[in-house]
Amino acid sequence: MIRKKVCLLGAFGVGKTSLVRRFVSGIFSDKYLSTMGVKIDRKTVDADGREVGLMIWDIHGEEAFRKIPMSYLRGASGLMMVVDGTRPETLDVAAGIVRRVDDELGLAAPRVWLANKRDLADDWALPADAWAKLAGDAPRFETSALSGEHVDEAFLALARAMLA
Amino acid sequence: MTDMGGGIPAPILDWLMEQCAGERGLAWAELEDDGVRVRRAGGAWDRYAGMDVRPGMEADGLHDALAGMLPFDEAWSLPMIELADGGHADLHGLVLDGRRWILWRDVSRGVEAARGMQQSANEGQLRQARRARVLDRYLGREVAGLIERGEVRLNAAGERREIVTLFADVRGFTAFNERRDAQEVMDSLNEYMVAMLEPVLDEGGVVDKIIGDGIMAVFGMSGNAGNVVAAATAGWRAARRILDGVAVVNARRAARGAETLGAGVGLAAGEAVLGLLGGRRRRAFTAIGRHVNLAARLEDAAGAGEALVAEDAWRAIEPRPHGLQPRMLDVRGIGPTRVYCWRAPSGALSGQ
Repeated sequence: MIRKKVCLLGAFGVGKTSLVRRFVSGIFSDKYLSTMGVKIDRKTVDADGREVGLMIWDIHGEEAFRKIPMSYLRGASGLMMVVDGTRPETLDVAAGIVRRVDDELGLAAPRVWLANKRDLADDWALPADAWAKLAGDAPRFETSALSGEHVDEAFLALARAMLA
Repeated sequence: MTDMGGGIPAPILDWLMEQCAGERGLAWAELEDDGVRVRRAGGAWDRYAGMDVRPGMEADGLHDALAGMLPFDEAWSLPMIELADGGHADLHGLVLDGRRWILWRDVSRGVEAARGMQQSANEGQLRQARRARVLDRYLGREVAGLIERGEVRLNAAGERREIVTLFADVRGFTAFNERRDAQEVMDSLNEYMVAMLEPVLDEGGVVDKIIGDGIMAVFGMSGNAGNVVAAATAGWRAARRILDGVAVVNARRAARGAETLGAGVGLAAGEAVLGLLGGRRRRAFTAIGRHVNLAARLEDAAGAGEALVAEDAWRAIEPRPHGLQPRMLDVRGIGPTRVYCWRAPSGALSGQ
C-alpha cells in the first residue's frame, strides 16, 4: 500500500477538523473545539484500483499571532486548502499560507481547495472570482462537513492527484 | 560542587533537568548513520510509540508524525503533536556533534493551559463574524459595516436623521392570495420580493421591514448619512428599478403562463428618529417620522406600475427627473399634498 502524508491548511474555524472527522469517522459535531498543534489521522482510500493510505495532518488554524510552522509540511505529498464559504476573509488567510508554502518550502505537492460550510446556504458569501483565481487549476469543491457533501470526493481527488 | 561553564552549579542543573525532562515524559533516540534506524534509545517511548524502542528499529515507523521527517541534516521541530491519549508532545530532530537524535517532550500541561484562551478568542471572533452576517442580512452590508464601526448606533433612544423613505408593494396580491394555493402564493411573493429588495440594497438603502406583500426601506443611513440629495437620488433610482424589475418578473411569468401582478411605490423625504422599537424581549430597528407616514400613504395611492414622489423628495433628486406629472393628492390623514407621479412606460410594468 502506498502511504501519503496530507496536510489540511486554512484559517481557524473553517472546519478542517470537522472535515477530517466526517471523512475518517463519518460523524459531525457542531460544537467548535479549537485544534491545538496537529492531530494525525489515517484512512485508506481506493483511487482507481490503487490502495492509498492517507496520513491526514489536521493542523491548527492560521492566526495573526500564531502562524502555522512550515516544519509540519515536511514530507507532505498533498495539501488540502480549506476556506469558509460564509467568511470571505478566510480566502485571504489561505492565500497568505500558500504564499508562505511557496516562498519558504517551494513545495510542489498537489493541492485541492475546499470551500466548506455549504449547508449554510443563507450565509454563503464565497466571492466566485476570487475563489477561482485562488484555486487556479487545482480541483476545488464546495463541501459540507455537516452533510458530507463532496467531502469524500475532495479527498479522493487529492489521492488521485498524488498518484498522478 | 562543580561549576559549569555558564556558572550554574550542577545541583541546580540537575534540578532543571528534572523539571524539563523527568516530569515531562522525555523520550529520545540516537539514530544510526543512515539517519533512519535507531542506534540507542531511552525514556518514555511507550507513551509515544506504544512500545519499547530497541536498536535496529526503523524510527520513521514509530509514530505517524515521523513519516517523511527522516533522514535529516538540519534540526527541525514539530510542536504540539496530539497523542493517542489526547495529550500533546513536542517532537524534535536534533543534530548534535554530527549525530542525529529524535526527542519527544510532553507539553500537555502547557497546551491545556493555552487551550482555554485560544478557544475563547476564536469563539469570540466566530461569534463576531456570525453577528456581522445577521446584521448584513437584515440591514444590508453597508449599514452593518457602519454599525460595526460605531458610525450608526442601534439603541432604544433613537437618533434623528434626515432620510428618505420608500414603500413598495405588490398590487392585487390579496385577491391573488384568495385564488391560489399557499405554496404558489409563497413562491410568487418571493419572486416579486427579490425584484423589490435587490434595488434597495444595491442603492445603499436599508430594508426596514417586510410587511406581507410590501417593503419599507430607508435611504440616508449609510454612506452619505444626512445628505438628503444623495438619499433622495438613491431612493428614486431604487423606485424606478423596482418597477423595472417587476416588469422583468412579469415578462418571465407571462412567458410560462403564470398570473402577473403590478407594484406601486411611494417616496418621501424628511426627518425621522431611527432606533429600536419594542421591549427587552423583542426589538426591531425602525424609522419613525411624519414623512414615513406620507411615503406609506403615497404607496397606497399609487396604481400598479406607478411611483408617487412627495415634493420634498422630488426637489432633492439630482439630476431632477423628467417625465413626472405633478398632481395634488388628498392624502388620507394628511390632507392635500403635491406629489409627482412617474408611470412605467410599458404596459407590461403594471401587470394585470
